[in-house]
Amino acid sequence: MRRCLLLVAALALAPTLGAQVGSPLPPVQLEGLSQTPAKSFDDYMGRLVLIEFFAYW
Amino acid sequence: MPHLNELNDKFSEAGLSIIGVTGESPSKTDPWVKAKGAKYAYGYDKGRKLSRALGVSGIPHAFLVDPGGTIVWHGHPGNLTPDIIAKHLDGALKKPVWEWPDSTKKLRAALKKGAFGKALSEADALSQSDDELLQKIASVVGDMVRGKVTALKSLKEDGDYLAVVTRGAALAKALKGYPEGEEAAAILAEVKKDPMAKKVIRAQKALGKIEAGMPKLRSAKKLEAAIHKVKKLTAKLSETHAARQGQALVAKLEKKMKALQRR
Repeated sequence: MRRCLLLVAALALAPTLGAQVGSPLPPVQLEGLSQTPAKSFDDYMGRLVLIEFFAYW
Repeated sequence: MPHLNELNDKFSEAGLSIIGVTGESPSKTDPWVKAKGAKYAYGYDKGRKLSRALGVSGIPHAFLVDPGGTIVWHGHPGNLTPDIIAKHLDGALKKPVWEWPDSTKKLRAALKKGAFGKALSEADALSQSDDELLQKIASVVGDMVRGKVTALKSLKEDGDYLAVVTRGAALAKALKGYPEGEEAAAILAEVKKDPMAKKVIRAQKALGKIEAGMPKLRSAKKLEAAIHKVKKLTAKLSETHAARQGQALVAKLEKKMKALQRR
């Protein structure tokens, strides 16, 4: 969704401790997963997963 | 979006799944995604919990997570080349969980319930099969479960004792009777008996409360008081995870203070 996001907008989030390469994906779940039969990140077990943070604006 | 659609077309059958994540509202996002023709999954990060946990400070930002659940790359998605993806596809399952064969039903049920010990037993049984897919699924499940214990160990090494006690108890219980469960229980016990870890956990809990209450801090006076409290909480805990957590929180509070002063 990158191409449609012309602004690299700073979210109202300062960097916290943050995850680094080599860290496990934090155990946080998403709501309203769409366009997939998956219900949670757990359903992607064994897959290589690309997570992209985006916004519609 | 075209870039991700291209990656999806090229690699999804080889084991790549793409998930768009947004902290915005469904009312505006759903029509937008539909209009743009995204071919991949997307979901909502309510309260921006995932974004915070990953330290995302700007968008777009992408994370590549390997089949074992470890972050192997992150950055601007425009810098994510097909070569990077191809490099990490090794070991990825071509079929996602919802397409696994019926013979994995018990395994899937165990995983869904978080009964990791039972899942290990089921995976062990599947590994005896001649079916290559079942063998691979068994291997992935084994790695995933053992990866949870490894992650717990990393949290302890990193000094994130609150996360260790929060996750460790559940993991030790889910793996009771298995060597992995004993390992998780040992990590947990070690943290619980460490006096410094106890102090760090108390500070981490207090810092968590301050962070959760940030939206209510709408005056310079309240923000100053919060900063003072954070510094006091972590004053005697230098070089600990709580201290790092405190520094990050002070930075957030100061940022909010500056934004308030600019108004």
